[in-house]
Amino acid sequence: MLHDAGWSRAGWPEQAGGLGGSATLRAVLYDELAAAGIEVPEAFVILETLGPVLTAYAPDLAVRHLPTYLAGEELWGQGFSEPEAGSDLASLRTWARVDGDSFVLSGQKVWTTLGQFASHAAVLARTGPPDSGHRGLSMLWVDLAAPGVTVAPIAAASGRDEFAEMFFDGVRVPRSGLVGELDGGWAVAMYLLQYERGMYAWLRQAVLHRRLAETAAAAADRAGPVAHAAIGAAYLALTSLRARSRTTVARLAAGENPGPEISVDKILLSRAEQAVYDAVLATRQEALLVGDGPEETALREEWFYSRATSVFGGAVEVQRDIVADRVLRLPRAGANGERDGRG
Amino acid sequence: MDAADLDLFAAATERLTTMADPELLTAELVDAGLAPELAADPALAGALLQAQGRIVGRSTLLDLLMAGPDHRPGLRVVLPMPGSRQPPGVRAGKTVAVRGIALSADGATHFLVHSGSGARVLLAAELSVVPVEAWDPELRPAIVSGAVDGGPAWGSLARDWETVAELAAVALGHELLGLGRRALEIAIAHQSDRYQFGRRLVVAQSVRHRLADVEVELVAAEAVLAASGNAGGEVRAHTAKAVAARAALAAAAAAQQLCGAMGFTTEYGLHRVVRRVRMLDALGGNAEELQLEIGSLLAAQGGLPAPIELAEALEEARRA
Ligand SMILES: Cc1cc2nc3c(=O)[nH]c(=O)nc-3n(C[C@H](O)[C@H](O)[C@H](O)COP(=O)(O)OP(=O)(O)OC[C@H]3O[C@@H](n4cnc5c(N)ncnc54)[C@H](O)[C@@H]3O)c2cc1C
Repeated sequence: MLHDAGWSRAGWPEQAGGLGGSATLRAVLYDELAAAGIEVPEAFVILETLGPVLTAYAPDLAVRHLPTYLAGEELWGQGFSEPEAGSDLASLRTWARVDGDSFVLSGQKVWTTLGQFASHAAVLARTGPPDSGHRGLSMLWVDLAAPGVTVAPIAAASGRDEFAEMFFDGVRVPRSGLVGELDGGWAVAMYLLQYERGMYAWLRQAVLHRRLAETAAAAADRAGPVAHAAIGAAYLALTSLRARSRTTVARLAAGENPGPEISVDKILLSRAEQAVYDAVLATRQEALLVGDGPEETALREEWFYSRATSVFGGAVEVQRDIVADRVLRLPRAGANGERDGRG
Repeated sequence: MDAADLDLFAAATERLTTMADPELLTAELVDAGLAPELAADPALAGALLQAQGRIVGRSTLLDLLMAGPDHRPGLRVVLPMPGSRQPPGVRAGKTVAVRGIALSADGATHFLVHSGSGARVLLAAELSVVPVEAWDPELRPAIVSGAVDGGPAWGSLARDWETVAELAAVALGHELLGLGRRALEIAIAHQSDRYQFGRRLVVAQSVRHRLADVEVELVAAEAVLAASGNAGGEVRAHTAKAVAARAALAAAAAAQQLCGAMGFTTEYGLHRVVRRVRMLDALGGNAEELQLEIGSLLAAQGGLPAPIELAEALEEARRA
């Protein structure tokens, strides 16, 4: 419906099935949807992380896949994390070797959001030697229907199958599936993380405003001071997120690169998510703890998901390291025999 | 006013608010014809107050902002006692009874007293003005009380207490942000210079994370204040103050811990920041009280007020 009305296509390039205009239009759309009480479809979350990467680094793939995604005919997955590579993403081991005009991909990815429903995935794989760190990685666009791909859902604490694991056994990926440069995958991943931490935060604040408004309405006649304080705390956290996020969205839309500063947004998002759902729980204890209806179940799932926000997209501790190192530029362990406090 | 202008004004503020006379800054602003601009451009007042906070200075700028066109040299605005958010004055017929505090009360000739129904300028000589040392002696606070009959010394104000209180909340938020920045600077400097276990203290991750968390809160406060302009309603004004106060409190607490015993000395001066933060936090409702108040208000309204606009941020980015 959103697609036919043209809404979901605003802010995406015309060549890629969009209606043109800057990313600002998308930011406005998410705000308007939430304000109108329309749930922002989950597919938009994934679109906001992978869409900008395709348009920036693989325009041909964007032309082919963005229109079908916007029409609701495709779903994509983000294949970064591995069983042995979480916060230390650059240590990942899934590897791809060049063979003629294609890559041959082998390894395992895990925690891919909605991977079990995905038609394609952006997979970060090692194309350099095993010890090449972040310099030897490439981003590949993988058709999950290709021979050698196995995808299995993983049941999550929320009660839903939030994510999946993906196994690749000699999967052939055409050269045209390379996103960005060969061995240039780290830059692509970092570009993606800006949107995952920036645009995604904006999208979520819109949803969170709606949830907190509903919670305030529910609190009107039955909540006491503890719930009121929780609602107040959530409002402060959420306003902080929105005030910060609007400047980040504006910078992204103007083509700027906010760089390490975007870690601030990610921390504010984690706080706002958890404060809002704590307010939901404080206000509607009965519903969340002993209610089995569909609305209660959904809120419960969302409460659990809010706990994951401080883990996915880079754990908050990693974001704090980035703020300390690259925003505050605190002195690091020096050459004169000082030990580094990290690790 | 652009960023370079604001920096210039902030630098001048730093100079003027460390001097003994608290009216120097306001006098220069008024002489330069900037009073209307101060009222119209919240970014200007914000920059000046942040600068004042950063150097833990004092001036009668808050009085100027709160009194608006009725400001004159020697005038101070009476604020509610810490712990109260009620207007400090009560009017009964022609009589105005007042109990509240004034800052920089040294040199005050008149007090502006708000009641639930308007405001009046009263002669200092007709009131009891008791200077107190107490928590933050450098602010030169005094407890102002008494009951005065008769007409105002000059102009009676059209603005009501709620509007003035909202403006003051945002103003205090800006000063608190400056104070928080100062506390963070002090903590970083100490942690970076001090060696223990054969290394700088600041290389420990627990320290780095605490400092990073303070930075995140300060950045958030800056963003919320920048979006709050001249308040824009009770919830927005209180939110701006509460977010800034919390950031400043977190910064002050981190600095007190991370400066070790040195931070506990008079000489080091950190206590001045801590005193000022707590004092400004308390004026017009502290962060905890405001947070509860906001929650209760939202529950009573059964929803949220209109959120901060996206549009202005986009305009700014386009200009930059
Ligand atoms: C709901 C959900 C959805 C996800 N979706 C995807 C997806 O679509 N695609 C994808 O690729 N990945 C996805 N992830 C994975 C996510 O990116 C990782 O969970 C994240 O990078 C952290 O890795 P890890 O879980 O292995 O934690 P680990 O790296 O094992 O860390 C565990 C914990 O240790 C602490 N920690 C880690 N490093 C440090 C440090 N340097 N300093 C201090 N403390 C530290 C943190 O508290 C962290 O949470 C998802 C995760 C979740 C929970």
